[in-house]
Amino acid sequence: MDLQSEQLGETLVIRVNASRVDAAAAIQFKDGMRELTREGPERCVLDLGQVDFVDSSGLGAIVASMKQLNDGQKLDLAALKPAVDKVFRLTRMDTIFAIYTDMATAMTYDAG
Amino acid sequence: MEPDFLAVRNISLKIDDHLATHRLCPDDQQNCSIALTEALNNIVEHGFADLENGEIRVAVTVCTSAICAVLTDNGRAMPGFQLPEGAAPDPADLPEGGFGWFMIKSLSLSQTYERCGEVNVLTLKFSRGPVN
Repeated sequence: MDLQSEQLGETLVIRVNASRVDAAAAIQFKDGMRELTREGPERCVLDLGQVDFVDSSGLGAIVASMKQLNDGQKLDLAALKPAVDKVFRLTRMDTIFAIYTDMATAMTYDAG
Repeated sequence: MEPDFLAVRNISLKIDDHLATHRLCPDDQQNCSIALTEALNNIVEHGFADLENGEIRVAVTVCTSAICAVLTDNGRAMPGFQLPEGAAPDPADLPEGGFGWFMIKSLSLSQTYERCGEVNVLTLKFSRGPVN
C-alpha cells in the first residue's frame, strides 16, 4: 500500500497512491496510516484522488484509521471519486467525516 | 487459512473489464462492481473459512434492461440457508465492518440464494439504465 505523506503548514496530507482500498489492502492501509499519523499534527487530510474503488473493508480501514488517532487529532477526507463517494453516502459514513471535493478546498480550511 | 482477498480483487477487476465492454452508465457499473465485490469478499471470508480449495464461478449477463450475476461456490452454506438481513450499522458507532450485505441489498434489485447440494448459488439482479 503506497501512502505518501507531506506536511503542509499545520496539516499532514496523506495521499493514497493506489487505485483500490479494498479487503486485500485494508490491513496494510490501517498499519500505514498508524505509522504516518503517530507523530503527526492535529489535522490530517486523506487525499483519495487516485482511488477508484473502496469496498466495505476499505471503508472499515478508513474508519479504523480515524479511531486510532491520538487525542486531539482529526482525519478529513478529500477528492472522493464517484464510486468511493457512493460507498460513503450509502453507508452514511459521510456524516462521520469532513469531506472536501478536492485538495485545494481541503487546504483552505487551514487558512481559515 | 487466511482469506484470499487478492483473488477477489483479481476477479473483481475482471468483472469490471467485462462490464466496461457493455458501456453501462457509470451508476450501473458502480452498483454491480461494488455489490459483486462485497458478495465475493463474503464468500471468501465466511463461506471458505476452514476450506482448502474454495472455488467461485461468476457469470454476468448484461441484458437491455437488467444485469444478472450468478455466483456459485463450494463453500459453507449461509447460516439458516438464507441471506443475511443486511441491516445498516449505525454510523455513530464508528463501525469498521458489517456493511457488506446492506450494500449488496441497497445496490441490487433482487437477491436470491439457494443451497444446491454442496454448492451455494447466489443470484443478484441489477437495474440497467438507458444507454447513453
